[in-house]
Amino acid sequence: MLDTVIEPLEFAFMQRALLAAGLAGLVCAVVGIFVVLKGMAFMGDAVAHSSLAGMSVAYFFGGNVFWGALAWAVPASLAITLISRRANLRLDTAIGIIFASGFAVGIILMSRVSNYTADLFGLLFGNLLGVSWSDVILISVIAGVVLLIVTALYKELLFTSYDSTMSAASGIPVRLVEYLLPVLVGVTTVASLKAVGIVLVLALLVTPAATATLLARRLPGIIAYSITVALAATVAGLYLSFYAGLPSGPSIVVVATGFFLLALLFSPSKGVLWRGRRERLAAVEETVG
Amino acid sequence: MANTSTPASVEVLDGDLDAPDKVLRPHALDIRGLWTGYGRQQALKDITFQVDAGEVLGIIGPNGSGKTTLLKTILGLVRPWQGSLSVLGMPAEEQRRVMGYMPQVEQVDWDFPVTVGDVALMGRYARRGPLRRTNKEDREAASRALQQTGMYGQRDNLIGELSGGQRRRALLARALANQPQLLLMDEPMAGLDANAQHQLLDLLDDLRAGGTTIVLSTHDLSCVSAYCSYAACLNKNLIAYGPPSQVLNEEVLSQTFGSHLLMVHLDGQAYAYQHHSHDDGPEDP
Repeated sequence: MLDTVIEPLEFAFMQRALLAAGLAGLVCAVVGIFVVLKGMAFMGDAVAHSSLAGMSVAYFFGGNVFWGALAWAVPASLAITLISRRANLRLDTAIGIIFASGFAVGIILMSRVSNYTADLFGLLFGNLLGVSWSDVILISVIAGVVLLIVTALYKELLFTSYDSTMSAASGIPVRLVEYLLPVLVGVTTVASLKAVGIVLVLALLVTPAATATLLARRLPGIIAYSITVALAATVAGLYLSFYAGLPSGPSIVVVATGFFLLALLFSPSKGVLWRGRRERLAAVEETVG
Repeated sequence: MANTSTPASVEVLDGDLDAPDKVLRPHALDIRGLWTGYGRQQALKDITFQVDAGEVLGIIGPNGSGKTTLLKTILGLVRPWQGSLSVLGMPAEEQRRVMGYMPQVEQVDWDFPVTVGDVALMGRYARRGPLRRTNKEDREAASRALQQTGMYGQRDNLIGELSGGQRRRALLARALANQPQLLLMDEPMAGLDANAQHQLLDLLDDLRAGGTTIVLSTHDLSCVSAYCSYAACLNKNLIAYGPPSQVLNEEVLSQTFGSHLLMVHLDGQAYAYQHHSHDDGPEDP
């Protein structure tokens, strides 16, 4: 039994994969809570997809795709907020424009590369087992900076997400927060690209946080559950991928989704299965009290 | 504009305000020549009035008359096109920390996973600024606000679990946690039963006795005439301003509400109903 756990760790590529996926899961779990509460899921998805352009440019010139993605993600996040505000367009419209345009530019650039399909596949679906130590370092730096900012501005992020009008009225720099949060989301998706790839980033960003909202009532509890689910899903997903010979990113996503379904069914307060029982209890309380 | 009275000539309602002190103190709220709106849509036109500290101003007017816009302009959420706003002698935008705001309950996300205690504590966030946590003083102020509003027992409840009246009191607790000198309330009475209204008015009495200035918007004319020291009749411009006894007459009210007004006299109390509105009539006491 213990061998099952230890054996994969003897491989350096598995150590790097676990570190990279765990860090990505951690930062996604935290930022994902704001994404879920504010309904920003497709903001994250759009930034991830559009950063294919940045990755392709980097790839084309033989640079690190990570830096390319990061260099693209920050202005793309700002552009979404700016376009929706300045052009007075709905946010989902601005998201659509950035989503498709960046992705299109990325595909065009990638089509000029000889082994087009194989390389594109790696960018789209992640290549966790091909993570280098420098990738791990880069992911830790991104995760560290994002978590530091979230911790430092926790009050402001919480209040603005809950009620931006009131937080503006009380003097919190809401404008700053409203531009910052999409950038944090964008940078977080970049940190997760190696783990799950462009197409599946959304799952890491949304699923653990959504699972947590089913399990805890208040934000501190939700954060704790979200982190736990994300770490459990990345580790279990990687082992599943190792032993069953499955692609790593999708394995992580499938395990995370499994956790979500379990919570959906069995959550003590919100579980679908207990609903009848809760309603009966409430009815009893009503008659007694 | 039938500006029946300037605040300086208004009778001092609280016995503890002596005249010389009153002259020296700046107005709690001083609005002069205010024009504003959204985009090119004008919402308020040439508004001028002053409120002294410790007074209660009731703003009445039909839907879309600019009541909420006026409150939001005072708070700095809507930018004035023209004119000046000062709060306690300073430009309003520098005075956000001394203002408390209670929005309409419909404007709040009640599914957000925070407790009543969390919401009250948010009233203190701006005081601390970024990078700093709330401290013991903040938690004590939030607890006091919860006790004042009778919500201390529900402090660990999620906001989504509250009844309509409790939701209002939770929002009021957030506004009070910051110990505001100027309290702005948007439709605080709407949807409250008579008992809850009396509780709220008692609480506002305590606040005003402590020197807090209160500005509230309402559809309840009897509340304004019985309770407020000033009434402002608003319909994009200020139709009339002054003590309720001088301002609230049929002529001013029909000018304010136009053809939409339906006056109802019930148990000696007057209510203004709007013909076309669905949800703005106050509930019967």
